[in-house]
Amino acid sequence: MVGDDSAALILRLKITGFVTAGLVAVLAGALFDLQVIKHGEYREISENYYIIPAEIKAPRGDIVDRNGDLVAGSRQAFSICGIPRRLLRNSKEIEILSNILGMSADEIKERLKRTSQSYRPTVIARDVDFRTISMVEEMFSVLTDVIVISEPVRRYPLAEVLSHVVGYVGEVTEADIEKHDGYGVGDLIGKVGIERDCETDLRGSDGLRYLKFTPGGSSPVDFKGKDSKAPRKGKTVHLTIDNRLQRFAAELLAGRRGAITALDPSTGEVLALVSTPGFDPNLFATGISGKDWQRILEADGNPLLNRAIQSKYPPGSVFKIVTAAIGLEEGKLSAKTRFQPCYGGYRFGNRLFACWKPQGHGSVDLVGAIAVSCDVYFYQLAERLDLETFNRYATIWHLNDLAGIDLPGEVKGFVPRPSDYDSLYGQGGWTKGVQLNLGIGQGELLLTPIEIATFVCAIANGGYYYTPHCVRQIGDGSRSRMKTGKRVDLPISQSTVDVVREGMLEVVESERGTGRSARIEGVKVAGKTGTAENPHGKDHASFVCFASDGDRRLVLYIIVENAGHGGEIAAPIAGKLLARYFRDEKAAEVAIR
Amino acid sequence: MRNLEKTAVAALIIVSLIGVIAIYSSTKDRAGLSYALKQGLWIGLGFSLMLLVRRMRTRTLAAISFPTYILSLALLMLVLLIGTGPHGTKRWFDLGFLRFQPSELAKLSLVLMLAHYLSHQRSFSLATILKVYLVVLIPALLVLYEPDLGTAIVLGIIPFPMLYIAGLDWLHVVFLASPFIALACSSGPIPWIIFASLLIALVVFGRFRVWLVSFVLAINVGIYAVTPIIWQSLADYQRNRLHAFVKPGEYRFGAAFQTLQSKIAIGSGGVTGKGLFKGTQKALGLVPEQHTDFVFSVIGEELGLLGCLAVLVLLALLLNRLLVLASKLRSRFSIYFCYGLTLLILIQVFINVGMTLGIAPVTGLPLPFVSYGGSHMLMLWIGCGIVFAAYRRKLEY
Repeated sequence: MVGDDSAALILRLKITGFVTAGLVAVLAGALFDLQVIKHGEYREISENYYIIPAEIKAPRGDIVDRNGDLVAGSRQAFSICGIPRRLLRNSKEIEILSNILGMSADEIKERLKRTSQSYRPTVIARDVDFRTISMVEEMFSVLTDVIVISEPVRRYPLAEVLSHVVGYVGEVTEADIEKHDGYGVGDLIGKVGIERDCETDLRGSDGLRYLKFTPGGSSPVDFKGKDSKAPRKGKTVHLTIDNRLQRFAAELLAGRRGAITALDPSTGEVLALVSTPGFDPNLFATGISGKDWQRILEADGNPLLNRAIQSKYPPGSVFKIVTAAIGLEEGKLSAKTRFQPCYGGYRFGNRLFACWKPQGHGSVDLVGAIAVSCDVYFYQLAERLDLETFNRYATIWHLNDLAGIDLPGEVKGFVPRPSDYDSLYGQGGWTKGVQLNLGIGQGELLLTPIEIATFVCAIANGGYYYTPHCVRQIGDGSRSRMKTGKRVDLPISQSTVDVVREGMLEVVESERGTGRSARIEGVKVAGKTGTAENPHGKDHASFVCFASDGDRRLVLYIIVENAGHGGEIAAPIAGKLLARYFRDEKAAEVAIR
Repeated sequence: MRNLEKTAVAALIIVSLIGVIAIYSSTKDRAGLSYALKQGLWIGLGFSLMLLVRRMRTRTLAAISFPTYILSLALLMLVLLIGTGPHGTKRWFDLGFLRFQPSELAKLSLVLMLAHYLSHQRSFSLATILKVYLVVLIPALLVLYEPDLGTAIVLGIIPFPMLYIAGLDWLHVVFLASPFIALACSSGPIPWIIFASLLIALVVFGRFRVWLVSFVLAINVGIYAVTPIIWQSLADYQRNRLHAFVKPGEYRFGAAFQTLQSKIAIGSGGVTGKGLFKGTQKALGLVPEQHTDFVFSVIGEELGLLGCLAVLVLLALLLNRLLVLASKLRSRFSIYFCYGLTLLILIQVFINVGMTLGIAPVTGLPLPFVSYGGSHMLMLWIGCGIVFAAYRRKLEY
C-alpha cells in the first residue's frame, strides 16, 4: 500500500503543488494589500513620521500594614526619555537637553547607551520638576527625539520607620536582566526587603502604546496600534506589621543603635521590626543620587544594615534560658537544684570567672538564678555540660539555623564547635573555660535578634514556633493568597519549658528580678535581661520577653548597642511597648464598642 | 546536469543573489561589504557542497540518516550546555567565522531520518506512529528549550506532510496532528470550539480504526487534563514566559515593534519600490534584524511589489521543480526526502514572509536562501545535493 502506487503518489504531489501555490497566493495577496491598497497610508507614515511603541509603566502594587494603612504606594511623576538610536546622532539636541537638565552631554549619552534596544524610549531623567518639563516642551520643535512620559514612582509614607522591612526599589542591573524575565534597561526592581521578596507580585504588567513622531514637528502623539494595551497595577501586599506599634518602637530607639523585634507567637506574624539607624527609602525611588548614596554609606552605624536579621550579637545573659533548658533536658539539674553559693565569682582551674554582681547572689536555685541572672550558677551548670551537647541542642532547636523570615538577607548566628575553637586558638590552645563563658552567652557565641525571638516564641508556645513572617496576604479579593508561618516543633519537654517560664516570670514579677521595669498591670510578662560584653565599647543591653493578657500574646526582643545594662535600658523599653500594645489598644477597643 | 536541476539551481542562485543585495543594502552603512561578502562565500560553499553531495550514492545517504540524526541530537544537547545566543538563549556554537546553529542541522537530519524510517514501513501501525512522534519530539523539545520557538514549530509540523506522502490518507494526518492543533487553538474559546467540533466530526465520519481513535483521543484528553495542572503549578514568571511563547506580539515589546516597522517598510515600498539602497525606514535604523529574519522587508521597501513577487515566484519555482523531481524518483527514501525538503522550505518561506507582512507571529526563522546566515544556507544546499544525487542515480537504488 504505502507509496507503492505511483498514481496515488503523483496525485499527492499534485495536491501539495496546489497547496503550495495557494500559500504563495496568500502571501502575494497580503503583499498586494500592503503595497498597493494601503501603500498611501504607509508611504505617508514613512515619509513624515516614525512610529515607536512605548511602554506605559504599570504602578507597583501597594504595600499596606495589618490595619490596611499604606506603607508603600505610588505617585505619578514625569520623566524625560530619548530614542537612543536617533538622539545619539544629534549632538545639538543633546546639547539643548544638557542645558535644560543640568546634566553633562556625556552623562546623557551614557544613559542612552545603556540599552541594547536602541529604538526604545530610554529614561534620561526621572521625576523631573514641572519647570523643567515646560522648558523641554517649549523646545519640542527641536527636541524631536525626546518625549516626556508620566510614570509611577514609589512613595514611602513611613520613611525611615519601616525602611528595613519594606526595603526599596532601584534600577535593574545587567545581572537582574539576565536572571529575570521581562526587564529592560531603566526598569525598576525591588532591591531589598519586601520590595524584593514580593517583586513578582508587586510588579504590575506594563501597557503598550504607539507614539507617532513628526521630525521637525511638535510633541509625539498617540498612534492607534492594534495591540496597544493598558497597564495593570501590581498586587497589594498586606503586611503583618502594625504601623502604630512600629512607629512607637522606632521612637523608643531613636538616636540609638539597636533593634526591636515584636512577634505574635501564636502565628509567627511580625508586628514590629525596627533597626536603627534607618534610612529613607524615598531617596531610592527614582534611582538614588551618587551624593545621597555616599552619605548613607558613610553615615554612622551603617543605616542599610537590618540589625534585627543581619547583625550577630553576643546574646549575653539572655542565653541563660537556653543553658538552663539544656541542663534540664540533660537531667543535670531541676528547678530546685542549688550549686555552690555565689560570692561574686567562681574559680575554675587557675582562673576566676566573675559574676556581674561583685557582692554575689549567695545560694540560689535555678528559678532564682534566672531571676537574678547569677553568672556563678550558670558557670557551674555549663561546667557539667560539654561543647558537643551545646552544639547538639543548638542544632535541634534551630539556633544554628536561619529563623526563615520572609525578608531577604537574613544571616545565621554562630554557635562555636570544638573545631572552631581549634582554628581560633590552635589545637589544644583552649580549655573548658570557653564552655563556662558559653553558658552565660559570652565568648564567641553570636545570635541574631530574630533567632532569639523565635526561640522564645517556642518557649511561650510550649515547644513549637511558627516561622516569623512579615507578609500575611498577597492580592485582594477572590484571587488573594494567604501567607502563614510554617510550624516548627522543637524536641523539648513540657517540664523544661515550665521551669524556664517560671524563671522568666520571676525576672519580671519578683522584687529581686532584673527585669522589673517591664512589669505592667494586668499582663503576665516573662522575660530575661541580657548585658553583653563586647570589644567595641559599652555593653549591649538586651531584653527578651513574652507577655499575655489571656487574650493576645506578644514576644519582644530588644537590643540597644553600647548602652549598658539590659535591666536598666532594654527592659523599660519593653515595658513601654507592652503597655502600648496591651493597654492602649484595649482602651481603643473599648472606645469603639 | 539535467534541465530540472538546472532550473532549480538557477532559481536558487538568482534568489540568493537578491538576498546578497538586500543584505548589503541593510548592512553597508555600519559594516560595508563584510556581510554581503560572507553571504556570497556561504552561497559558493553551499553550491560546492551540493555538487559534492550530488556525487554520493543514495544508499550511502540512507545509511547515514540515523547516525546524522543522533549527531544532531548530541549537538542540540551540547549547545544547551556550552552554546550562546541573544538574550541569554543557547542557540549556536560560536566558531569565530561561523555561528553554527545545530537546530539547522536538526531540521535536515529530521527529514532524512523520517524519510529513512518511513521508507521501511509496510503499514502504519500504532508502533509506527509512536516512533514517528518520538523521533520528532526529542529534537523539537531540545530546540524549544534553547529557546527557539520558530524552529521547534517547524520540526513539529514536518512529520505530518511526510506521513501524508508516505501513504497515510489526509484525514488520518489531520487526526494525528489534532493534539498539536489543540495546543495552538487553546488561545481562545472560539478557535477551540471550532477545533473540538471538527475533531468530533472527524471521529464520527472518519471511520478510523478503534485503536487509532482511542490513541489520539487519549493524547487529546491528556493534553486537556494535564495542561491546567501544569499551568497551576508554574511560578508567575514561568507563566509569563510561556505566554510570551504563545502570543509573542502581546508580551514582547520587541515583537510588536518589529512587525509594525516591517509593515511600514514594505507598505511604503509600493509597486516599484523606493529604489535600490534608497530605503528610508532602514536609514532610520528602526527595523532590527533586517539582514537576517526581516530581510524580506528590505526587498519590499527598495524593490517594491515587483521585487517581492520575483522572490516569491523564484522560490515557488524551486518548490515546483522539487515536487516534479520527487515524482521522477524511484526509491521511496529519496521521494520522501525530496518531499520533506520541499515542505521544510515551504513552511519557512510562509512563516518568515508572513511574519514580515504581519500575518504570522514573530518567531525568528530565516527566509530560505535569502536571509543572512551560514548554517541554514549550507544545510539547504546540502539538502538539494541529496535530492540531485537521487535524481542522478535514480535507476540504481
